[in-house]
Amino acid sequence: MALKIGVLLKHVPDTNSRIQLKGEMIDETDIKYVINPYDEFAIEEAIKTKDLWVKGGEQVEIVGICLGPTAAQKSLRDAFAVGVDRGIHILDNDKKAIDARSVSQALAKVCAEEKFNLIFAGKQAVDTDAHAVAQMVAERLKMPHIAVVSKCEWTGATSAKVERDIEGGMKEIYTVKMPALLTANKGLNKMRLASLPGIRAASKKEIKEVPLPEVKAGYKVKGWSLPPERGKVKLIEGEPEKQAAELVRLLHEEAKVV
Amino acid sequence: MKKVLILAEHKKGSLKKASLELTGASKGMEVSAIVFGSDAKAAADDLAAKGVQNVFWVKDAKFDHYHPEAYAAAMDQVVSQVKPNIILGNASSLGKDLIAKMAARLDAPLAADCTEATIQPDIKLRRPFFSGKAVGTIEFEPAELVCITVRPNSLAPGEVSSTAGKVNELAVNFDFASSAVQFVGKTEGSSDKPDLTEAAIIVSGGRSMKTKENFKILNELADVLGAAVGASRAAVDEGLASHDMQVGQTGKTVNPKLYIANGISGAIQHLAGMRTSKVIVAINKDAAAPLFQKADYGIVGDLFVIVPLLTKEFKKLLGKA
Ligand SMILES: Cc1cc2nc3c(=O)[nH]c(=O)nc-3n(C[C@H](O)[C@H](O)[C@H](O)COP(=O)(O)OP(=O)(O)OC[C@H]3O[C@@H](n4cnc5c(N)ncnc54)[C@H](O)[C@@H]3O)c2cc1C
Repeated sequence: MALKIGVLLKHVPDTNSRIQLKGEMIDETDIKYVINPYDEFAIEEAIKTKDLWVKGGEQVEIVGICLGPTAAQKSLRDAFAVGVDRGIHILDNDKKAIDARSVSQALAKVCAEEKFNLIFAGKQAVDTDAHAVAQMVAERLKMPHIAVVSKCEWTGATSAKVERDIEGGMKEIYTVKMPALLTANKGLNKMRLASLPGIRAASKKEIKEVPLPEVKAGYKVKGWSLPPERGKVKLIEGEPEKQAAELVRLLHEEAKVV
Repeated sequence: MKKVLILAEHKKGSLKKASLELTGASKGMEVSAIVFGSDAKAAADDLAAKGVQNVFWVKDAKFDHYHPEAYAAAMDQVVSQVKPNIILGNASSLGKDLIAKMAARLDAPLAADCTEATIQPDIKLRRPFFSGKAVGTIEFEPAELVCITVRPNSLAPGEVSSTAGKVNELAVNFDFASSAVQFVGKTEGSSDKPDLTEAAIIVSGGRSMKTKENFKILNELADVLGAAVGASRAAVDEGLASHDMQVGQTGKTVNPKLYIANGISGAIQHLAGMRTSKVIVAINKDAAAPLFQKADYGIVGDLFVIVPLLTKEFKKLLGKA
């Protein structure tokens, strides 16, 4: 039996990018786009899982799925270079799928057709930071999910033991039977670097472009603004003892936060 | 009148402050709440005392730990009973997961991790995008039901009304045995301090802490202030602090009223996690450190000298000397 692993990946602004506004809109001219950092963990886990299963005699294919404008294909190619086998690009140049509801509708539709045994995604995308799309895809597929996974250990042919990070440094531990969707947190792994043959092979791998399915966004984003600037920093001068005493006084009497 | 369903949370029975921010936002409305766990009685009573008319307490010990499918089944039962127009939760580990799942199940719009939220008379929401580098106003499309999660420490805690509501024990139909997901266990947390994402005060350290042992001086300051201790990614990568302490782009997003950064340069990815802090203090020996541009108060100096002095001064102030 051939097994199919899906990886949901998003093309997002590099975390070093400065975000600026042009009128009331985000100015995208100077932004450099990359694979969402959390999706890198998802890609790596998919490749590790494939390697393990292939060793066990299975045939395994990894399919990257990316929704976004034409330029987003770059993230699929980058994923190919480390080992993702083929890609599906849901083309959305008009930015119709702008929220978790519409994006999850589109991704779920495409995933349903592929009939994945396992899906990996990043725990959140660093542009919208909704931390929701992957869970919503799972729910629409009626697939169980565990989110924010920092450890995944295969205990049988179809079941894994996974650790989910929650508040206070605690971890919830679950066993999960496939088909299932897991979202990756930092700590799960570190994405391998692309090899030269990998990069060469990447340009030949297949990207199937599909139109955006009928989706319904839940909201519009209006009134963009940049976070309020703080006033100029108040630097506290003097000897260390005086500085410490003055800072404590200011936090208590002026800022009133202690 | 719009009906609200709150996903409430507790820690060892006591209602989280973040949940009280949700009751505060729903003042005067028709409000139900759901709370999970055999140890949640005090939290359920507290919700009723805060004027939540109908508190649904899932008392069955099988619900002591999060199970996405099982919790969703419980939410389903309450949703079909109270028919809410707004499902409201915190952008916590539980809220972010379960409310997203419910939004898909009910095919409702979801605005996650809002930092400004008014729900009456009209819904007004703002939330950060691009890790806080921009903020946008959310305008829902017309819908019978919307889902909203709010970042802890964004709203003022308060009660729904002074008339106490009632607690209903909710029996949930869910077949744990045949679920593809089984809860196996939970590891203990690494500290007894408040969680970073909920803490009102955070003391954090960077690469400059040099050793794990040196975090002791931050811990001492944090203990005096009842604060949580955070770290930069450089400190985590060098093994000085654990990953659950990391603040920033690939760590926690925090929202305290006071953030004291010790020997942290102020990289854009660190700012991503703490820029909404009400007051930011930077302590750094390099006057050119970028964090001084984003801070309210700053001391140019050696943290190993300044931090112990701060601990001493706060002890004096708070009568703990
Ligand atoms: C994709 C991506 C994601 C990232 N995610 C995160 C994240 O989540 N969180 C995060 O923090 N970073 C993140 N980073 C890393 C970030 O870019 C910085 O490298 C990191 O924040 C630097 O940590 P630091 O300030 O401790 O170290 P440094 O930048 O090395 O700064 C150390 C500072 O300490 C000061 N100093 C040294 N000794 C003393 C002393 N005795 N007293 C006072 N001051 C002293 C120095 O002047 C300096 O300013 C990410 C980077 C990338 C590319």
